[in-house]
This record gives sequence, C-alpha cells and structure tokens, in this order.
Amino acid sequence: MTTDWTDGEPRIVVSACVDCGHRWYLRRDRCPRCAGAVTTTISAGRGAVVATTAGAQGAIALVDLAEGVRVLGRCDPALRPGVPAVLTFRAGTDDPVAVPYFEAEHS
Amino acid sequence: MAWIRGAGLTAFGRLPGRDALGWQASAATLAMADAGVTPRDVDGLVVGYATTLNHLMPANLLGEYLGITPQVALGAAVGGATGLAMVAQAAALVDAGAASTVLVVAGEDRASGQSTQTSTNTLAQVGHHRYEVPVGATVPQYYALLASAYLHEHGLDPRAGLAPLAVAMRAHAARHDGAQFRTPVTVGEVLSSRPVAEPLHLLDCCPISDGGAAFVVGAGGDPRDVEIAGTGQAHLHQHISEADLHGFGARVSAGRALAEAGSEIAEVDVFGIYDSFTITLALLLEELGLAEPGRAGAAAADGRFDLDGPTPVNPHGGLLSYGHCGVGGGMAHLAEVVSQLRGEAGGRQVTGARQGLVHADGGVMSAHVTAVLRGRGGTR
Ligand SMILES: [Zn+2]
Repeated sequence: MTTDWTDGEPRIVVSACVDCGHRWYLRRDRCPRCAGAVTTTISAGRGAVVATTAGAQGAIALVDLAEGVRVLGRCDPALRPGVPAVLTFRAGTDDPVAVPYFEAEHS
Repeated sequence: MAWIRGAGLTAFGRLPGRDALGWQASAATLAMADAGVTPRDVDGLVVGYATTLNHLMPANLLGEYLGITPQVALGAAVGGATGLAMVAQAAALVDAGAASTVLVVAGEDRASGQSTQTSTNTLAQVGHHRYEVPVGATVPQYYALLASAYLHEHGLDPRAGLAPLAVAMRAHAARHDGAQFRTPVTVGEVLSSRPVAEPLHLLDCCPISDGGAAFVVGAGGDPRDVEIAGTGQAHLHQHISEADLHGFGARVSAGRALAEAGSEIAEVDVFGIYDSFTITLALLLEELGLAEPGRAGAAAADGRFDLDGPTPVNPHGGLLSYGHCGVGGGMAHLAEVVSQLRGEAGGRQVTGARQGLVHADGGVMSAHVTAVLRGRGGTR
C-alpha cells in the first residue's frame, strides 16, 4: 500500500491490476474485477473535468485523471466541464488533511 | 405468485406529532386494513431503516409495538431502493413458502424529527468514507455533479433539460390531497428558486418529509389484488467515481423485471419512477428508454409524462412534490401504481391502466430495483 492524501501525503495514488490491467482510485487490497494483485503509481495531477457544482457548500468537481481514474475533489468555482485541470491540495480550517483541489490548467 | 393485497400511504409533509415508529405503525395499520388482515395474520415482517430512529432491529421494534410475532423478520437498507427491495424480498418469501402474509413497512419523521443539517450529514455518508466524505460533498452535490455532466454532454441548460420535470411532477401533485406541495409551478419559478448546488435549484430537489408507507404481500385472490408480475435489481457501483454515467443499472434492473413478467416496457400503462432530483428522473427515464438521450426535459414539456400522455409518470407527484420521507418516499410510487391498477385513483386515474412499472435507485444512482405490476384486468 502506498500512502496518499487521506494519510496526510498530498498526492493521489492510482491502483492498477497486475493481471488484467484494470485501474481504480478507491483503495483496495485486490482487483475488483479479477482479484489480481495491485501495483500503484502516483498521479501526475492532470486531467479533464467531467462535472462541477458550486453553492453555499463549496465547489466540487469530478475529474478524469490522465492515468485513467475518476476523482472527486474541491475546485475553483469557475471550473467548468470539458476543460483541462491541474491538481493541488488545500486544507480548510476544519480539515484534518489537505484534500484534492482542482483548478483550470492555465489559470 | 405473489400479490400486493393491501397498500397504505399516509400524507407526506412537515407534520409534527409522530415519531418514526408512529409513522410506521400508521402506514402498517392502513395497509392491513386495506388487505383485511390483522396483526395476528402477519407471518412475515420486513421494515426499512429510519434515519431518525437509527435502530439495529427495525422489524423487531415495529413487530413488538403492533403485536406482530412473525416467522420471518428482517430490517433492510439499500438507500432509496429499499422499499422496492423489501417488496421483492416479500414476494420471494411468499413464493418460497417461507411466509404467507408479509407486511412491508417504512416511515419516519425525517422532517420534524431532526434538523436539516443532521439529515444532510447523515445522507452524505453514502459517499466514500475515506475518499469522498472528507471532501465535504453532500447528496445534492453528488446529483448536481451528475446534472452538470448530463447538461454538458447534451449541450443543454437547466431550463430545457431539467426544470420541465419539476413542473410536471407538481402538476400531478396538485391532484393528490396527500401531497406536500400542490401549488403549480412554472419553469421560471424553478429556475429562480434558491440555488442548492448548481445547476440544481431548490425546486429541482425533493423536500424532506414526515410520512410512511406499507404493503401487505401474499397469495392473491381478491379482485383488488395487484400481481407482482416481475422484479429485478442491479447493483453495479456504490460511489460516483466508479459509476458508469451511461449505464447506472436501471436498464439492467428493468430488463430483469420485465423478463420475469414476460412483458416489454412498451406494454406498460403507468410508471412510478424515482425522482429525488430532476436529474435523477431525467437519467432514469432515459436509461429505461422512456425518453431519448438528452430529451427527458423536452418530453416533460411536451406532456409525455402527463395523465393523458403516452407515458404517464408519477401521477401522485413523486418525491419532488408528494414528498420524501426516506424509505417510505420510494414506496409512494408503488402505492400510486397500485391505486392506478385497481382503478381507484379517482381524479388522477390513467384510463385503462392494467400494467405498471416502478423503479427506484438508492445512493448515487447506485442500487436499482424494478417491479412490474399487473391489475386483475391485465391478462398479458
Ligand atoms: Zn484485475
């Protein structure tokens, strides 16, 4: 297992199955498709925005990372679906760890 | 073969004075009276979770309260699909001979028994505890993300893509005196209502309600009995990051239910489709094949889902306007379809309704359950 932002390391870990090649984001001990063993890589932090929402509860986005997994994070309220995004990490006052934060690539 | 022999549906709304057990007992009493059975006759009891109760043994709790001592007791939790999942399970118990008279119940004081913030926080726990909940997303935000992706993919704005569905559900609710919201609304009023999670505004979102619903499932015989002709389910993901945005599970679930019923969706006369948000209804209608991709809002604006349209949907007003008391909210769609197939829907009656289909989802389009129902007049 490789530690990630949920452990306090500001990075996203992408899991891949050594047998079938399936990739996923949510930490598991085995591949959910074939129960194969897992290898991990660190995401380079670039992707395409799938969806965004904003409001009193803050802005969040779904982003397809270039490594082939979909990730939920907070985002710049100006971010829109279809644009490239880059990943950083930010912690609000009540957050125990810094969480994924996406903003437009050229902002 | 299992039948719905009795149905009980309370009014929904902000109706203080009863706790979760009280709403469950009210709905159960209505259903048993409708079926002509007493607590002593009930040998199977299936009860859905209530967020205001948060009890480990909801069926045992209600059984003791009502004086029911069943051979089979079971509590259930698959989110908004729980009600239909319980009915499917009740039908299976009857078919297997494990019970003959199964009471299925849900109800809670979701509106008056807790603060909106508590309810929002409770529901947000359907997100991944490690990777999503810490981001702070709420259930309206998860559905707003689905709406954002949907509108972007189809090049739509909320005016054309979503608001007409809220207008259509409100027009239906105006004909039901148990509905929480009965005053008609316009597309403009939906768009100008308070933003909850863009692109969703307040009138795109179901309310939080108090209320309850219950059914008695058993072997049929009475002319008012409604046949559970087929049930199907699909559970393909839990979290939004692992969902297939073009195949959440509704098509698979409905396909299984229709196959068991030996029927096709074109032969269905009236529909009960889960509508926690306008986007939920749009996605389900399209995945079920009841609207072209990206056209659910346009179809609603054209009157396709009205009582006299080709595809009547949620004549009671759905979650969006009848209201949403949790598990019981998803059972109201079935209670309405039962009324329709009995020909007892009064001013909401869909002419000649003989076959109905009810579909619910739980979580973030995660758990899918479908039921195909047939009235006694239906011989297909
Ligand atoms: Zn694998």
